[in-house]
Amino acid sequence: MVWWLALLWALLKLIIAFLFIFLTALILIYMLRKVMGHMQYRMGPRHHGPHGIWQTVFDALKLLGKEDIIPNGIDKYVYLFAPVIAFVPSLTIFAFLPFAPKVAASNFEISLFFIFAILGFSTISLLMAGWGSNNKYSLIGGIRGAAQLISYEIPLVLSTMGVVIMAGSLNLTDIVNAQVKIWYIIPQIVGFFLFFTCGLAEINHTPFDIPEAESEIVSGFNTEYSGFRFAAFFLAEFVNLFIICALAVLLFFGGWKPFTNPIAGTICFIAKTYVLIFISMWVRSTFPRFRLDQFMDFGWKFMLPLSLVNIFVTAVVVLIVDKIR
Amino acid sequence: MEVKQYNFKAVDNDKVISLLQDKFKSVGTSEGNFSLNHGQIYCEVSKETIKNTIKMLKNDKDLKFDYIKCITGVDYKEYLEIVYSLYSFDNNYSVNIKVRIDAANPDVDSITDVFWSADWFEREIWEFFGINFKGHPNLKTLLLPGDVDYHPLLKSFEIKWEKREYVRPKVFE
Amino acid sequence: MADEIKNNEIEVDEISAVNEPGDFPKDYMEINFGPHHPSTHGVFRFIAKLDGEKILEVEPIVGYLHRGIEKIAENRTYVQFKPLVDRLDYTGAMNNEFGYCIAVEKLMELEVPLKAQAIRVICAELNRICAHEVFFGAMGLEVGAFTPFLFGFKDREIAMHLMEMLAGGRLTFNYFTIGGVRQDVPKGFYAETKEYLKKFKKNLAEYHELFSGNEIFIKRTKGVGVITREDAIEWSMSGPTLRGSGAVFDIRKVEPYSGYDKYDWEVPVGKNGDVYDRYLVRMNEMAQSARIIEQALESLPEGDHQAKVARVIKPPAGEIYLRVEGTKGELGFYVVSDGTDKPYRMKIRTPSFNHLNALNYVLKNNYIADFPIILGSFDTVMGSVDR
Repeated sequence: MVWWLALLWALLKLIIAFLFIFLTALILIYMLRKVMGHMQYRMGPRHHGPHGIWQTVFDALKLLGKEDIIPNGIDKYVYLFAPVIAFVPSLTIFAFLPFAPKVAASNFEISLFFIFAILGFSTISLLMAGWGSNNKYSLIGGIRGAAQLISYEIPLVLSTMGVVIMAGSLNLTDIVNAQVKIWYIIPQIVGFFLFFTCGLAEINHTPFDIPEAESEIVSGFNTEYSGFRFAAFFLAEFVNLFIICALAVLLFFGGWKPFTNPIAGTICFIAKTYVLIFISMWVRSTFPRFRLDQFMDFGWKFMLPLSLVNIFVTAVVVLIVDKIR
Repeated sequence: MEVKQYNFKAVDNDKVISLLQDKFKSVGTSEGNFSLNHGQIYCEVSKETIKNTIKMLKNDKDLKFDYIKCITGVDYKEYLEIVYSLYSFDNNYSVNIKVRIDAANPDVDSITDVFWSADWFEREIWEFFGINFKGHPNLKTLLLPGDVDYHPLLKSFEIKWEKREYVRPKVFE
Repeated sequence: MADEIKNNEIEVDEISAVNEPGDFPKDYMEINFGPHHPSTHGVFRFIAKLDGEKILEVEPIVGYLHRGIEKIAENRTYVQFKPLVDRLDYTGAMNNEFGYCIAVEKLMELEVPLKAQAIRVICAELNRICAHEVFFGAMGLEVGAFTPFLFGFKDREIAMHLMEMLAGGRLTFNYFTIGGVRQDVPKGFYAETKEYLKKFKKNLAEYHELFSGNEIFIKRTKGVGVITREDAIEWSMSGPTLRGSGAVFDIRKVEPYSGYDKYDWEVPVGKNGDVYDRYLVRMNEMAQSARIIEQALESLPEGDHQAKVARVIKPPAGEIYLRVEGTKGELGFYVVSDGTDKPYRMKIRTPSFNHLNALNYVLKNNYIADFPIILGSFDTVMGSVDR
């Protein structure tokens, strides 16, 4: 291939990825409003367009069109770059998510590992936002966020190890292809529970939205942000939700199976993801929030040992099955 | 912590008055000037003995007035008055203790070290009537802004219209 | 505060218990909450000293909603002042009017017709349900669940509609008059109220299902903000807060007014004095209120809805302290009359005032995440604190 054609192809991929991400975020916000609304005996947005489908579009436009307020006394570059660092990793992860066979921007051997590595960046963004804002609420939120993400990243990563052991690969496409006879949700039900819970904690989703607990510390790390910087945080949150659910589908629900056709596979994959997203929204509209110390106890004293036990049991069972064969 | 049932029976006021009179005598505080008004007991004691009286009422085994219903200040122009409305959970007794305070030199002993809840009640009376509570640990304005130099619930305070200019805070400049 | 005031049972960490004046660690953080913080229930402000996530001391600052209602009372006639009483605790306006009206009536030695008494009880209990639904919703918000808020408000809407049928207003009613109520109940009120109560009982079960039994909620609230019964009495706490601490005490039982002794109902009470108990007491109180309304509707007597009262109300000289069970606790009116048509002095004793007084004592050594829950469990309304 000529070099400029390769460049153009890469650019096209990037644009498609961007479009997809923005569309996903908009749809997710709209979906959240509708789902939560109907669970709370109300309608959700109704005014703009049929059933208010343009509401989130206008909201996004409003956020982008707002004045960019930069408070006094901040740590300027830290403050300005925090939303970027929150958003870019979420964007990058999309490069490694296979939607269907051959529908992936990049397919390389340790994609699962790489995704977790990049997901860890959001900790830095929370800390930066908390520190840079020169606001005590933000600071508390940032520190809480850092503590939470670090302690839940470990069980999150460990919970997927069972799947990795069973599939024998860190490549997401291979993991999906390995789920021929049975989806990993059945042998790895504990792993799925761990993954989904820690995943929700990782993206500050209710009941783990401690860094932005609005009743205590106003809005946590993003208290001082407004306009498109706030929009970046907001967008990153929803994109992360999609990523966690998509990962869960890839690891435990057989990805695009039973289809192998790229188009049908993609549709199937996205549909499965949306089912999981719906469940997370259900959780969001039902559960109250943990307190930080209880939450840490839960993470270190329950989730982490459980994930280690899960790895151990899986490894032993896999070994025995191999021996028998 | 166990659940405690309280006595809901109605109380004979005359009995309470005679009991209170006995107690006042035995402790040696001022005898008090009892009266009944709309089925409630009012009792006037002198300013000097108020703290001891209330301490006695709270700690006495037969009375046990352990609850402040309300502390009210009233301005009667010639003198000020503080009314301590006390209640006894165990016996279902109520009593209103009145203290007269000189309007020219208003001060009285604080009862914050007898009842915790007297804190804000006394602060409120201090800022609205200008009655100085001797021994109150934290006598600052509660409901009014910190820089007021008047006591609005005194009868001598007149309500007047006053146009206030909005002063733009310097922070915004 | 005086030295006698001891801390809550929880020990301060060893790190925290270092040197410096006031037993504070050297590097505590001072942080300001309010007056427009999302969970301070109105315009309440406090300055907290934090050691990490732990609260060392709070200093409540009130007065942002001070309207001088007690001074206004001295410059208005008894009738003119009545609408202002609604503005004290604006979630339980009927109960405020209740207290004010029977205080003045007792001062005048006025008999209220039985029918008016029953209507008043219905109104007050409906309003109590409304106020506790607000509490339920706010409690949900404070622990981070949004759904209870809307559940509570949806139900409250219908109750407010019922009161709108009676009074024409939804939040501030001005429905009670001195000597009765302003007008008789309209047609269809009984049927609608009965229907509402039926629905309400179903909804209450749903609230419990959604929220009261939730693991996280129980974990957040059990054992948090414990107040012993003795301390609650010492701090002049009242109403559901006192009952949550294990005192079977309700002014409607102890000093029955307006015929509360005719109805058969129970006083819900908690055992541990923590936030969860206060929450449960309020939830159970709603069921009891529904019970009272049902009985009052069934046994509604015939007759006038208002006693014959002179046009200008001039109570004889005298004074009275009268208390009723408001939605948040003991609501007292100390009225001094000098025989004219204006009160000489009107002191309003509100429950929230005393609950906030105890805030430092209760919040000390709790986590910062618990402050909205503890504050919310008192269900303070700033309108009644600042007056």
